[in-house]
Amino acid sequence: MQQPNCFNYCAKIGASVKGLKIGVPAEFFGDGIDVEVKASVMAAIKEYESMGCEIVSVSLPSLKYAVAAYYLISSAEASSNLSRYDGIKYGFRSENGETYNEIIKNTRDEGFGAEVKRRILLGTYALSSGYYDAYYKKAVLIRQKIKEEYKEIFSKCDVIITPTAPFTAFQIGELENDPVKMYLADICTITVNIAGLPAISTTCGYDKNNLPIGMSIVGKPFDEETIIGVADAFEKGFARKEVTL
Amino acid sequence: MRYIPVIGLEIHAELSTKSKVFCTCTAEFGGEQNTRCCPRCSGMPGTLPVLNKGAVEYAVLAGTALNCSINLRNCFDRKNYFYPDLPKAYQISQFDRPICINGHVDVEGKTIRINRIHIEEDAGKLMHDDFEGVSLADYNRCGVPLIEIVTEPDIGSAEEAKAFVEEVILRLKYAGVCDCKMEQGSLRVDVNISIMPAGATELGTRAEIKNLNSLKSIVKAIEYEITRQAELLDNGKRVIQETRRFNDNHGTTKSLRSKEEAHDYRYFPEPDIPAVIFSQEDIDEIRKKMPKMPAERFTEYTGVYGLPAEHAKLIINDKDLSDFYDSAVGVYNNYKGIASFIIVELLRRLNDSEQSVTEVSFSPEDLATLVKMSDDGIVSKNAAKDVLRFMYEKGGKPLEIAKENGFLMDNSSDAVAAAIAEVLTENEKAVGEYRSGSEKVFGFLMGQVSRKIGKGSNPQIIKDELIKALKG
Repeated sequence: MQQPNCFNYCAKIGASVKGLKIGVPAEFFGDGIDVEVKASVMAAIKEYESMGCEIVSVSLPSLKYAVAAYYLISSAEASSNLSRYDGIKYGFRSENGETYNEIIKNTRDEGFGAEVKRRILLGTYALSSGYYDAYYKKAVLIRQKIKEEYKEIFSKCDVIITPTAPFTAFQIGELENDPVKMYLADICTITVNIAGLPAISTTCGYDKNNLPIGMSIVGKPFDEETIIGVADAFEKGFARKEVTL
Repeated sequence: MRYIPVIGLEIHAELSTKSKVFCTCTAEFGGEQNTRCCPRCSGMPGTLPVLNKGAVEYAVLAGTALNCSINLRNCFDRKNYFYPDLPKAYQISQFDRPICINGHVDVEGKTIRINRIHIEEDAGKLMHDDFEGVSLADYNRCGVPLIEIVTEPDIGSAEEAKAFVEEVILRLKYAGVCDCKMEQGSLRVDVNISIMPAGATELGTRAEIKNLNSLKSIVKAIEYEITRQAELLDNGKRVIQETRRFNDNHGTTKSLRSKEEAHDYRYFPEPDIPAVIFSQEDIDEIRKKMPKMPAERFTEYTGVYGLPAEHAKLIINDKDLSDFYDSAVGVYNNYKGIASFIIVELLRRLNDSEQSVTEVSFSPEDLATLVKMSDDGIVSKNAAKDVLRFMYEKGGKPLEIAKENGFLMDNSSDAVAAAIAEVLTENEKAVGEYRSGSEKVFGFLMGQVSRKIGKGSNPQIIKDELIKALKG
């Protein structure tokens, strides 16, 4: 089994990033990424270059499948993870129902909100016999593909830098009726979850409304100390603004 | 027979590890309700499973005992269903990569193939209180490691099924991985059974009978099912694929749910447990811990120790007894003497008192010492049986018991000579008969002398001295 080599997360704080290879995957800077976000993250990458880092072009071709795969896998897992909220042992329990089947059903019907129910339904569907191969299994194959692509990427660089989100924060409730758009807002971060990599997000600029723009620094498996060191190197020279809402 | 039964079994055996399969709670049977569970095995939010290495090793041993191949790469899967005895609402099990595959067990000259053995966790226990109208859940058993042994449909009768389960129990006990106490639920059997007309090539529709917890109910359930299905076919009806429950009181089975009502368990890989990957060396290392199996012991007992096959079987049929025997012959090497003492004297007492040999109050070494004392003439063979009775009833060391109760043989010829002299005087008639050629009175005279000397009498010495005195 792969063992984490060390948990000394602070080891590289304050260390020089000179000679470090930073990968920039083109797919994270394409259509759907806000212009201001793109410019701000690219500026930060230039900043690293001036600190002596080497910038390398890399590619994650399967990024376009990532949201679909991620929402199938995570919803499948969520549908199972959330099953324990049945009102039998703890938490909310419906007053309605005579048998345990009714109690479990009513508890879950009354206790969960719309987004949670949506994911449970999606996940249950993806795992159901007859649909498993078409959805869950395919998503797992994409996960494998993404993992392999990251492996290839990290043979060429030490970390990669991407935007954290395709656009700056939307208003609370703004996308409530458009879950697909809301899910797409996760495009920049979910491959990290899929591939099991460490990542850190830090502010690298502000848009015209003074909303913060984040960049993500993604590292090799168990290499938390490098991404923390890289983030620290940037933060030291960055003027943070107070954000007023 | 008009119909040929085709039977396959699923045997659920609880592994006798110290702790549960994904947490550190004790896996021991019993305890006050809900005292042997923790946030993990009772499925609290935010808890994660950590696999018990011992359970994995036990599964490898079980697979070895049943002649299986061991998969080097093992994954766990979730089986999802809602039931109050399953607090996570999913059971962690193994779906398409079970730890053991392709085994077999020979029973009464027939090979029963084993399709697979996989590891899973046991569920809690529900108690339905009809009087109060409530169901109560006890999670003490929740998370106890189980293996499920799945056979191919190679079994042809109730008796064969029973013999197979007995053989599996014996092997699991020898492997030391399960106590197989069916009455406590640590071994439970599901039966899959169909029948087909003699000469047919196509299998019939099967029914599954769940949760049989004694050898007797396995036999009764199978016999009932064969009759039930035969009657259906005789009357031109069809057997439907369904799950049935056995009623122990009536000896009948009853439909639980049909195929249409079967659960969709939505199996998928357990994301919280990484794959368990063995090297061949790991497997070899685990197999080194494998105790000697029954067949191996049989060869040793009959070959090296020279025991009659019947004696060897009697001892081997009880693993504890066989272990006891092995320890005893490790101390003193009269293999046959110790074996017959165990079979004739000890086994009878154990059966009478319905005790296991692990419960007796003396050690295998004590028994070996007793047999040696008898062999060395320190106590007579008969007195040795009395000493064993004392050991069995009150405990204690054989030599001390023999001393305290006057069982030591009196080997001094003075005492024997005095007793013989008295007997000869008291029984002139018999002595006369012997001397005039009637040897059958010798036994009577022997008995008289022994009685005078008491418990410590040494028959060999008495015999020799008596002959001398009579002929002298």
